[in-house]
Amino acid sequence: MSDNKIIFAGPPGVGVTTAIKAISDIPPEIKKKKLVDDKGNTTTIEMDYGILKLDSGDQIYLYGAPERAKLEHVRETLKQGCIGLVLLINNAEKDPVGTMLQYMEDCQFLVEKKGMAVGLTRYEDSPLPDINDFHIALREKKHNIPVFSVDGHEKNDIITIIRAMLYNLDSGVN
Amino acid sequence: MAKSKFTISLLGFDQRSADMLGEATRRTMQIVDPISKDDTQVVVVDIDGPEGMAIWENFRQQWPHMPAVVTSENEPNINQVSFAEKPFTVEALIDNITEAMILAPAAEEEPEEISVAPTETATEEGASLTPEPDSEPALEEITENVGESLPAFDRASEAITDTAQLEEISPESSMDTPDELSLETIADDTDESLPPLGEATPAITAAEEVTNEETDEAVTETEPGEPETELETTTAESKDMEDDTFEAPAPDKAMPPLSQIAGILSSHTSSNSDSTIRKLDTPNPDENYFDPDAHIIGLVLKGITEGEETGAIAKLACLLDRTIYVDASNKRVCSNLKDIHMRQIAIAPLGKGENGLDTQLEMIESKSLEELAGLDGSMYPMESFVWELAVLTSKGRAPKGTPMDEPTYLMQWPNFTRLSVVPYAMKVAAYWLRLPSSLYDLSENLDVPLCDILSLYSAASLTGLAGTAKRNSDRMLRPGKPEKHEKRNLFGSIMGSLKKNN
Repeated sequence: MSDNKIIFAGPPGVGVTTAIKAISDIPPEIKKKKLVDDKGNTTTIEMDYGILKLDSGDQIYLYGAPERAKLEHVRETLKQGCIGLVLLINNAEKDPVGTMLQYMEDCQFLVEKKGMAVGLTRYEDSPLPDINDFHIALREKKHNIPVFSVDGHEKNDIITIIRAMLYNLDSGVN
Repeated sequence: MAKSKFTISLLGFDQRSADMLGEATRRTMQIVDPISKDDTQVVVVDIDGPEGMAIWENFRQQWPHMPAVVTSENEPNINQVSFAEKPFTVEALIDNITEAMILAPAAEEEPEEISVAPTETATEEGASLTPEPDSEPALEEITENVGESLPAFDRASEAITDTAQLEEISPESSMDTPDELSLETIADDTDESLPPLGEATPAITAAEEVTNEETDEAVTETEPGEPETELETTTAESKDMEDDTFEAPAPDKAMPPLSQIAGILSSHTSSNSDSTIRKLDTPNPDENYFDPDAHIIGLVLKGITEGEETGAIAKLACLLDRTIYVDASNKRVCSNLKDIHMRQIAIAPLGKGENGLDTQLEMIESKSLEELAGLDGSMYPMESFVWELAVLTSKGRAPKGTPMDEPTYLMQWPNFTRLSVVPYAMKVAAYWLRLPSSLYDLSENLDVPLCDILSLYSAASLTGLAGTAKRNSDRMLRPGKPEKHEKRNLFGSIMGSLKKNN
């Protein structure tokens, strides 16, 4: 039995939950993980969680990554079986290109040898920076990954970005 | 750590060529820089640069026993080295690497690392192009030694053949079921299941161990059978398999790692390797082309160019009361054209004849697009509008003058969520971005009808995203079938499910 996952990440409010909801075959749930530090203080990390059911009987788990500061604590949970990362960035916020690069650095353990795609939300309302600016920044880091404008509510947008991510991993897929 | 990739080092390659080679071979090879006695299995040397031969001589002097592949547009006069003539395919390079391992003599002590500062040393020390007879045994002798010291190369070859046959008989067979796990799958899973040594702080790591158990019991949201629970099972399986996983030996120059080669070749073999060429079989090759300047898209592009230079808005009156306004400065288009009109005006030739489109380009200054267009127009991103117009005009043809058999490039991913659909567009884009390819090669290697390739090229080139590749590095690799990911079948299942939901 596999535990293949697609991870959705992005700043709070960007639409991670909505994106998971758009394609999940179950109502999205919250997955909780308790952490206890060496002083006995507990912290709970919450992650959105959904399932994409395949005709083959397999399931693809859809995880919403927690905020950046807590990523390291769930590193292994996210990394195990990860197919790829869909990073959602709000183009209306200040310095979205910088936010994308910071997330990529924090999610390096997911980016390396995995698939990745970037979805820009609110791009139509705030078309600057231009989508080309994201590509230029990515090329400087030697990444050649899909960057699309998306609306998290639009199922087709989320499907398109996942398909692009998979083709980027293997363009021989039919 | 278990490995299933060739580890190669590159010498004499410019950065772009090295990046391109790294991308194209990412599933079968790992590039090691600089050359390392322990990690490099084969060095690939490009001798086409101005100091190419000096780089080769310097390398051979410092690493007389290191397996090497020399690549060039013309075969050099170098003995006992595997030669890869440019352009080469990834498959051909794998053959060369295998050959280089066989040709290489037994290992002796060599420097730990080499920094690439080739020319002066080679010239000063006068390195010879031809290896010393004493230090480099003849080909027959090497082959014989290899045959004796190896557990039967023939058996490995048979294994490769069997694997290929299996895939041919059962192309749909899943690589993801446990019985058919590929070497790479096992290796990768094993990597992923290993604990993150030194990556988390000790306090947090300890806390996670404790609360993982708590989470399963205390947090009801986690259901049995979900990944958290499976994690342990998967890890255990992976560890069991780890013992059987091929461990790539430290590079032994006299012994090619045949099981590794078999594994890589097996995972590399495409299940649809006998795809047919889909060139358009038209009696008149001109039918593969259209002239953008003979259609309204030519005027739109001209309006964009002038608008970018002057800031003016382009106006094109198309059919009676139908108008296109193009604001190049703000990358927007406003038009009251309906879909059916778009199709009509896209294919109609410009001119005053019966079927002609009598449209003139007019540049208008100092007014906003909203003010010009009034209330009955719809706004479009300029790229989306031009893309759609190009696809409609193209009708499976390429812009006039496009070389069909010369490499072309795609600069970046088009914004496919906002562009009209071209069949296979994302599949082609993913491949094309990594490797400049001719339009014929794209069609052949991806098994996509040429008319769809030409439609995509038309849209991408007329929106400025694609063009003819002219750099030398773009001609180094000959495109082949896409490298096969170990989870290709799983990806196919995901695609299928997503398509049904679309």
